[in-house]
Amino acid sequence: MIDRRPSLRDRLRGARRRIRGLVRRGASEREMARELAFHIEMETEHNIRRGMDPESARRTARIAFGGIDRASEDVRDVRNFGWLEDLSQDLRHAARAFRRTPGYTAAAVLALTLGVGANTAVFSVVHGILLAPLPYDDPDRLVRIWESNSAQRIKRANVSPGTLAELRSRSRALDGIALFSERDFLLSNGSETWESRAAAVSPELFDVLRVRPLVGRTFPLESADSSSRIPFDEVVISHRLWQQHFGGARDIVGRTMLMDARWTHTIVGVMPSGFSYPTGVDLWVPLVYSRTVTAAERQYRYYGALARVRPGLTLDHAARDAAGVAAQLASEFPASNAGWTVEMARLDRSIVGDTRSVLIVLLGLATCVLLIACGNVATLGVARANARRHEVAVRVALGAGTRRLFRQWTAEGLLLAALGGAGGVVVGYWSTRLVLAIAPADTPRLADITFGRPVLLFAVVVTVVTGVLIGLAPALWSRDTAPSDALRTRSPDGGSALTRAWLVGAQVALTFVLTVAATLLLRSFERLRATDLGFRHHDVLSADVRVPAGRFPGKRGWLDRVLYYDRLMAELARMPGVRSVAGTTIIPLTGELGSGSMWRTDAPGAHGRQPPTSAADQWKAAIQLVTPSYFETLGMPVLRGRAFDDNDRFTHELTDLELPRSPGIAVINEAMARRFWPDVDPLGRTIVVFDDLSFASYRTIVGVMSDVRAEAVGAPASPTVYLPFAQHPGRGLSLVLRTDVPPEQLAGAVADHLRAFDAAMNVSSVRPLAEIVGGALSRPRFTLLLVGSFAAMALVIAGVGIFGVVGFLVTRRTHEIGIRMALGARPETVLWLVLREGLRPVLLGVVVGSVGAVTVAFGMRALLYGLAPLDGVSFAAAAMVLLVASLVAAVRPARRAVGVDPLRSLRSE
Amino acid sequence: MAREQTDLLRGTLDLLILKTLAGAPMHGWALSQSIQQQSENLLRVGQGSLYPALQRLEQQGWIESEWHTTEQNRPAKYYTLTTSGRRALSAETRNWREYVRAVDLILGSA
Repeated sequence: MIDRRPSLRDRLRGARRRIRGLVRRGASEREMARELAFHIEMETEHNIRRGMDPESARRTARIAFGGIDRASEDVRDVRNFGWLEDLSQDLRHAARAFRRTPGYTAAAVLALTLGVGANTAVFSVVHGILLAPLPYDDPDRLVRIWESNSAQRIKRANVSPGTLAELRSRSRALDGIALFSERDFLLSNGSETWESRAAAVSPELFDVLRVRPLVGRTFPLESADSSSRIPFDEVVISHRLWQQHFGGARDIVGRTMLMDARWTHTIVGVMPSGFSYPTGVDLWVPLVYSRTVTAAERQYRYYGALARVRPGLTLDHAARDAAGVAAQLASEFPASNAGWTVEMARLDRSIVGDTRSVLIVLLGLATCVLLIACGNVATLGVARANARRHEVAVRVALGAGTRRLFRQWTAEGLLLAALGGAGGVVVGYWSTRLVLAIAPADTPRLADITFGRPVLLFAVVVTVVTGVLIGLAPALWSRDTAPSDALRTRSPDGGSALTRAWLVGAQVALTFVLTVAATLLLRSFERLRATDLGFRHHDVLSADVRVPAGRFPGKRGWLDRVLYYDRLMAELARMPGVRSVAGTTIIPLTGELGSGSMWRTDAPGAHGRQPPTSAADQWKAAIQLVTPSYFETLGMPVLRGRAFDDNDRFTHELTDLELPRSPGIAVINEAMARRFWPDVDPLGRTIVVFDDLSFASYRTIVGVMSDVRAEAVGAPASPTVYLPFAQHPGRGLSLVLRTDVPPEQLAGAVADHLRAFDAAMNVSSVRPLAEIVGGALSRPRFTLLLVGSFAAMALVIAGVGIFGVVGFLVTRRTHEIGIRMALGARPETVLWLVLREGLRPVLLGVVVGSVGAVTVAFGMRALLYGLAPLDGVSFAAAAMVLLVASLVAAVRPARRAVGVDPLRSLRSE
Repeated sequence: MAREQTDLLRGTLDLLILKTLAGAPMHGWALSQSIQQQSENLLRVGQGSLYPALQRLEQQGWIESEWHTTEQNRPAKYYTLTTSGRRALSAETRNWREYVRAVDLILGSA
């Protein structure tokens, strides 16, 4: 009816006045008191003029006025930003109320501490890994480049130098391409020797990432153009390496490091703190590669590649452009490029990889913990509101407005949340440090996880939202309190009971989601651990050794190297406690297997080193070089044919690396047999194996071994070809020793023995194989640990909620229970009555929660191993755990009901 | 229902205050007396709602207050209508008339 919207100017003026009122609060309070007193004075005089005596005149005036306090309160309500004005008063009141109920306060603060703590910790990780931009200039335009071949089932493989050279010259969308390849080096600064991961990089890498060295320089760009000027004796080191191994020396530039006990490199620069690309690398050496593209360099794909998209172009544009170049290459160079495409992805996405999905699941589950905590505190709050109904009614009768009461509840909520938030930040800080300490080493961007300002801001926002949420429930619930309620001794509390049941049901629903997630991960982890790896990892010790460089020069070097390792292994086998010794190019589960392409000699078009015409006939398989006793030492059974023996040696004409005169042999695994000879017996067939070292050799298959999970515990074996080490020896060898005693007891003796054998030999990673297998499970174990602790927190918080609700139920129905007992109800009946009512919201919660649990289960499908997301056992087990926990929480207060003395309960009425 | 009544009364009170102050600046007590007398004692302003209303109108910028001395030389807070208050008064008076006419039409035809 009456439109009384004030204009903006009026409003501004009003706001100014309000702020002035707030600032001069004391003054305006006095002014208001004076004005109201003046009113009563005038009224009194008026009454006297009408003939009343002064005393009754004053009294009448006061009655007519209707309570100075009420009027003052109403004026204050209008005058100020009420909640700010009275905040300190409300907070003081809230603090008093909390001191009166320390148990409630402690439970609420604890729940909030856990909730905020879990969220803050997870957020600090999510922020560091997913949200914080990469510490490079304009990181959105950085891309990783791969080559893929769908026909050969190769996804995102490294890139060949040929493809990179063509991309560099043909693509208009890229502003620079850098190559890199990683490997570990044994380093020495003269006084100590250690192992670090290094990257051989093309000089453009620093340019593409736009990072400058902190000290000195990186590699000169001109070196990219002519191989003769590549400064391959230079090295750039990381800030960490500088600090740890050179004590941050100022005169670091110009110092030298011995690499792999062979090459002396001069340090030319130190990168700024935190820079480590590729992730985990501590030094950079120039990548030595030919700029003239030969056929072989189109064939071998072994470089990681990184590029910057030209400004103004989108990633899609660049990706289409690169795909176009790949299509041209496929038609121009079918032998090396047919079937191959070029793929691109944002650098940050490619660094984070599948950690992303884990983090999103974790963030969602941590939010569940916080919601449960909110629900819990709100439940307790409603109970308090109910207990304080009398107090509230009195305040309403004394003139407290709805807004005032609302403010009071909000203040209490905010105070609780602030306490919980403060605790949560502390818990979050330590949890983050704990997470960093136990996170799997291969987690990307660990260095970017900090407990900084964004995390604190997040904690503050979460705390404030939580405070408002938990204040809202009791405020809404006590909104309709009437002054007359103050007069009733027993309050009608049906509404409160219902609200609390709902809140508990919601908590249980969320807890069920968490419990299901944890159970799924637990069962999946158990399956992973129980997975038959296909090899024996108990009672096996492993070590990596490397022949000193330059030890076996010349044409006989190869033969001498084999003999050297023969002697070494024979000596180790004589050690007490050692049952057998074997060598391999790679210990299972320590990294990617080497791979190469191969084809059947009778494939169409294949002739000598000439590969078959159809790309489908060129297979990609893992290649592992092993000594004869390898299979036996690791307990790998021969399925068909035979393993290697000591006669499978030196089949090559040693000085001619082109083709062996007599066919070499190979043993393949079951996966290889299934993939490439699905219908026929592979034994006796001959293949050409073409591996990364540019060797092509004829291999006759003499045996089929059982599959081994060598790459990841959760991944089935990929097709693998085993070759005798003696027919293809490298410089390094990994040893596996089967022991009669616990392997860790032998570690020291074996290391000593190796050094005694040859002081110049590089020995590293002497450790039990079981430790390696354990390390391979560190990621699922880590996820399980986090989600498990979330679930445990949720169970505790929800348990407290159920405890409270059942206790409240018993208190409310004490009278009724007394009557029932007096009428002869048995204790079991009473117990059942209370439990049934108390646990009803739990059942409801489980039912509602299973909808959420199904969603989450599908969301974390990538984290599950050998388990369908809808794993019935997990769901049932989670429900059982939840029901038992609820029962435990409910039984104590329920037993109080049985202890009710009928007489006393009736008398108390 | 209870809520709507309050709003109605409050809106009416604001209108009466504005109208009364349009004549001359007044302090709160005089205002309540004036409204009571002008309405031939039919309307009594609950003093508990008078001061909050004055506060509210002042915040909207429709009235201003100032401390002056009364004829008996006592300090009192005097309220004056502002220009925007005058504009609001005429707008609200028009609204009120329409409202009354509408209600009358219904009551008259019943």
